[in-house]
Amino acid sequence: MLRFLIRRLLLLIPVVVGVATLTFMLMHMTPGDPARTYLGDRASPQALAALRHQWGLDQPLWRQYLAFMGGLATGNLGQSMFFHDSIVSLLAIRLPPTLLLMAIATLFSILISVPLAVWMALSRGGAVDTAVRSFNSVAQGTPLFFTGAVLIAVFSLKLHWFPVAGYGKTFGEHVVSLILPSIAVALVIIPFLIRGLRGALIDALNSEFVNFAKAKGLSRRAIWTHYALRNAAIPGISILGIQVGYLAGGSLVIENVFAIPGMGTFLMKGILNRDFPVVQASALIFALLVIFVYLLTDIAYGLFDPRVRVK
Amino acid sequence: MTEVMIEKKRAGLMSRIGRTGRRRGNTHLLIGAVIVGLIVLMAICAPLLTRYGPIDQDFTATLQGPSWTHLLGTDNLGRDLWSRILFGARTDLFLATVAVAAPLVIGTAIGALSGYFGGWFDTIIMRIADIVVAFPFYVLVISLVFIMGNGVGSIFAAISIVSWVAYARIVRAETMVLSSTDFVDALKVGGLGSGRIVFRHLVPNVVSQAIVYAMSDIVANIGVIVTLSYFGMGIVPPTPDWGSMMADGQPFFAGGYYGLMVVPAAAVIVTSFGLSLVGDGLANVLRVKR
Amino acid sequence: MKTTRVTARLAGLAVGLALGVSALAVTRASAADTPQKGGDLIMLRAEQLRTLLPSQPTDNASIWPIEEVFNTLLVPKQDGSGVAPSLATSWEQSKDGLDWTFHLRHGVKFTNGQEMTSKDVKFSIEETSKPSSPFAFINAAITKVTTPDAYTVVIHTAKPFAPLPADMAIFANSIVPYDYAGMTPEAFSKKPIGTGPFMLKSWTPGVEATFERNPNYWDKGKPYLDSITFKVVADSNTRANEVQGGQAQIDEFPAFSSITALQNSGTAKIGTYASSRVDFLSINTQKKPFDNVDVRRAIASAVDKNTLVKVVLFGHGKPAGAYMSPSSWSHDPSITGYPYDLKAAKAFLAKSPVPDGFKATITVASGNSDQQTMAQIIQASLAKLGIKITIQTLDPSAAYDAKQNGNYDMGFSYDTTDIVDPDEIIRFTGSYDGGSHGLYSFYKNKEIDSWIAKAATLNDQDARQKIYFKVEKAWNEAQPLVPLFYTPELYAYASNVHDFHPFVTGNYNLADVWMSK
Repeated sequence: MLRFLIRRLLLLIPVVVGVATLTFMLMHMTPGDPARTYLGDRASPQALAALRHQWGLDQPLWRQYLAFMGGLATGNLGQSMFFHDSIVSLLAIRLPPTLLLMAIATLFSILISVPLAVWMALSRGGAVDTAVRSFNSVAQGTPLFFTGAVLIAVFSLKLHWFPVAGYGKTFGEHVVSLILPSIAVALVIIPFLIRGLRGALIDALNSEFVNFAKAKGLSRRAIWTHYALRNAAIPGISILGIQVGYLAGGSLVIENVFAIPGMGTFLMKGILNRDFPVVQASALIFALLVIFVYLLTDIAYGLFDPRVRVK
Repeated sequence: MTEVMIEKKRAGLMSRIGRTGRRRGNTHLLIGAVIVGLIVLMAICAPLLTRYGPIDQDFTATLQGPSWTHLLGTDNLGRDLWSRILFGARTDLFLATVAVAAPLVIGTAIGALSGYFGGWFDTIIMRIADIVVAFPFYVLVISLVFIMGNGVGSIFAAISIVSWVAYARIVRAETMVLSSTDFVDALKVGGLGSGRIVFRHLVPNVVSQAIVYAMSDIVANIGVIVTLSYFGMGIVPPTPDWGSMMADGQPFFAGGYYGLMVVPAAAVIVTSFGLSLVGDGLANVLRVKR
Repeated sequence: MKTTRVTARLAGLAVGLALGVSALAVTRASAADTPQKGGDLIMLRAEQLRTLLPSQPTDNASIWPIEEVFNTLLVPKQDGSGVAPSLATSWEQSKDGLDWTFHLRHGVKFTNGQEMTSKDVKFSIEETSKPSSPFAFINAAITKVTTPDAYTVVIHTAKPFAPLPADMAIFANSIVPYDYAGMTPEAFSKKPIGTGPFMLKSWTPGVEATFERNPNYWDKGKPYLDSITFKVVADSNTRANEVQGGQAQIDEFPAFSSITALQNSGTAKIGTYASSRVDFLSINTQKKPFDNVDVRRAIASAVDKNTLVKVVLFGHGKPAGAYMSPSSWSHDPSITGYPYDLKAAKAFLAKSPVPDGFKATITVASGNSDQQTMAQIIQASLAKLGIKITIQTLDPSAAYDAKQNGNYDMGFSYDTTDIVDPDEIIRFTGSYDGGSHGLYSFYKNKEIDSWIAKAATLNDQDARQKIYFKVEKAWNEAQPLVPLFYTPELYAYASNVHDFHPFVTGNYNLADVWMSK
């Protein structure tokens, strides 16, 4: 297991370098001058030049790239041009809301999907099965921003159950504020998860092992807990991993709708302002999040599937 | 546990959209095909189904409710909503479908070669795939839109750059399985060249997985196009498109003009619904194990 | 100036689901007229606060909080008709017109306990005059600042300079303690010390900043509020929702398209306030065929300003004539621009080198639904002249860059003034060297430039007005830009917020604002 982990971690290096390089290239290719964006119309040429110098934008591009990669290697992500603060301290503000959002959304997805999938697998072709499957198809096609807008209109403005937007001040408030956005996000994950789980459960229940167990007189409960659910956990985890990975990027959309001060809004503002260090750092963080979730997925395989338990 | 196993699991699961009872597969396909067919037909015949051009402004008839003159009412520029929905279908469906084609072809080719040859070629391709998958999609899309300007070209490029990976992974995994069978050994013994083996014999055998995945990919593409347009980074006005229609309609929602936002949203949802039914049905007809 | 920095839809989608408002127009609460103390006000805005160093910012998101933390020598009158005392209680100009003497208020303390004296004023003005300050141009006429005693400041100019008092009322000339009370400018910008009604309590960059009441504020009894929090909410739909849901009290700049919606519900009010803002269709006069005056006149005659006001502003503005705002005494009401008349437009075009029309683009900022609406309307009417317009969407920063560098055909811009004197804006939009190349028109007219320069040296307002009228007339003839409409300022706010009334110059004095329970 340890060797496996080390190998996976080493494989991260080319990905990180690749993502960092790609972001650097993309940002420097976009038209728009950060100094001009910052200083506005009236700025004198001297003021513009001074600011470009301060930000290191007067250096040749390859030198800027080397400085950026060098900083990265030593863990120095630099200073935000627009926030006048170090990237690391800004990340400390922005990362927790996004992580909490992802965590709650994942929790909702599991809590809703697992019981539904079991129910569906038990009543294949029944009313519940058909209803949930239709709902899945609808949910899958609904744009995230629209779900968010509808949830706000109904649960915040009409029913006043939840805050309209924002993140609150205490941990309790954070959680309450994130319930609606998490549901919106979960509604993207759930269709995939339910389908995967349902299929795996049906596969498992139809397998020879289960027939044998039944013949042997094992209790329904034992069959479910020891075999069917355990077996379905593997595809479930993979799907969850892939979806949560995608959603790390999708937080851009939902954080905007719900005004959550997380990585998504941070990144968007960075792109609009041409705040290069902010974009580079947050793109990297998103990439690391995705990789990290995949890594967790791989480890979970080993935990749940005895066949891939590593020597 | 090996890389290959993980890769294969992941690839297989990516296309796991659902496991449908074979019997109902055809029903799904039928219902889905009818819905999608109707929408496509409406998009093609758009000029016959409305008297109004999608960009014809009429400032004497702004923000009207549904009526016999304007079936779904008008927007703030007095443009006919029904007409804009019809012509919007042309924009969005066309782009979503076209944007599937390139990744499907490229991804399948790369995946087949990668799976067949393995070795350093495979390693490089898969590391590139890792980078693409890990790279935040919206950063890529937004930067491309900023660099190339709004419009069809940037959306197409962005989607293509990202989505070949899924096809490559699916096809690669299938190819790897097939390559280890007697079938391929027999072909090799028969003296066939690698290129011929891959593209004449392997690809036809593994492509159905990719095609099934493509159906759900169209749904995803519609989502991306609509979201980008909603955020003002997609289709350029005055070309009608469902996403920008939703964005333009949203401020009027609270004033009671629900249709301006809800109708295009409904169009998106119904279209996606139809397409996922087709995908489900197709999976069963093609006997794809998902 | 306050540049045409526009909020992207991503950063500020149009406006919201279900808002609530009772009556429109310049509503001010009449019930319970006695101000009450207390209350925490949350104000939502699209943009983040960047710096609290008065000499630095060019963005409203930084400028307006600075005005709550610091005072200036003088303040604009609310209606923009002139200036009123603040840290200076009186001021006079010397006979030769070259020296301005300001007498400072006694006993004003900075929030660190130090008394505000002439030394601080001299330091503050000199900081903003440094070339590195983007607002140095505002102090360009100043040659020297002297301090005869602790409560007297004399400002010397090379030529008589009438706009000087107005320039002393701009945020950039806010009074900071001498030598930033020993801090570096960088440190000071994060822990500012001012004399204003509020002082910084906490600041999470890019998220929110909270300011609490200055208990020792020199204007006794004020401010009423315990605290104000400026919170960044990029999406304008979300801002509107939050005000309606009671989570926040004021929404800075709701979209005009949301007014109807806001009127229909009951929890929030909409305030429209006179402002100095004028919106223009920018034309790049360096490019062919826009260098031809008849082409520009044809375009101006083909733009239906009344429809724009109706469709974009929902009737809350006025079609524009002269390029100076009616909020300024320099505005010439007799100039009505080019009325919407397609026949006249065709006639103008027939006289030009391109009688049958041409192809061009209108550049709009992505996510700006107002600009996109205007572009589509203008596109449709120019098509009738044979002018084929393609709409090009660029993200706000790139769109701004394109205008700055003259890399565009047509686009949208607006100007607002920072000072009550017309000098700033008549240059900014009318003169090539006024900061924005004539609001991105790149139009050069030496005559206009010399008139503007001359007017600034005159003390007699009537004489200046005559010259400004002449400038506006000549400009109108040339029509380097098409003035579209005079735009009111728009806020949505909770019904328990009282005495909130922004000035013509855009700033708002939150010291006067109070909340009922």
